[in-house]
Amino acid sequence: MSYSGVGFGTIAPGAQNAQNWNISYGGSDHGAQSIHANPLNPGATLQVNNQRKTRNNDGSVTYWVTITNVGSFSTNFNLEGGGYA
Amino acid sequence: MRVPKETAATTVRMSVVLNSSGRVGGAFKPTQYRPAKESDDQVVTVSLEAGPGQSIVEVEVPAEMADLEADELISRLAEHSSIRAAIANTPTASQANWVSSPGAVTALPFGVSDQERAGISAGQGPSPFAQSFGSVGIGRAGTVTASQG
Repeated sequence: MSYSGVGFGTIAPGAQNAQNWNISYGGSDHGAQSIHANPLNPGATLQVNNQRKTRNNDGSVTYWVTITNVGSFSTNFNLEGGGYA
Repeated sequence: MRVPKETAATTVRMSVVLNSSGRVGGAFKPTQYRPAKESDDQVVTVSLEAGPGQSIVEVEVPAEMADLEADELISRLAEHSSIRAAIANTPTASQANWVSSPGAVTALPFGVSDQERAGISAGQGPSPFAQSFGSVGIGRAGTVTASQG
């Protein structure tokens, strides 16, 4: 499955403001999933890295990503992404 | 469906990220999930977790603040008494030169368990905050849900 426009975030520039996000599909395993940050302000650039997947002790699955604002000003954003299938 | 004006929400819950310098580094509020394909009916839940040196404060803010530009939103959040109180009560943020104001928020050190996070609450005792901007909690994680649209 894929998604877009999830949430509404704001992030200031700089590594110290990097945000760790996780996403869950009701805990179910959706295979390889990609999470991206969609900047909403013109001129803004957001970088995502540390894509990771956790199988929790209860068997549920959580996907993770770190978002960093590599621009020079704060920007609003939402999340988009999905699987490769 | 159109929501009658008198019943429309006047506040929204927002998670505010305080960075290692004790400054507002970002914020997040949930919105409705829009599936890219009509066949996708899975609810997507997203959560924000504090990184190294960060804390997350959950607050109730006037709904109109959600429409502010990013820089202005961060500026206004940083100026608000409840955020300042949270900063003053947060171990990592105490290094910053913020004006302290009395607050009822509960500051937790990093490394709190999920169970502890779930029990995080604020507003113990009379709240010093304006009703339109109440502090909800502070901790290492800000759990927000993007419900299915």
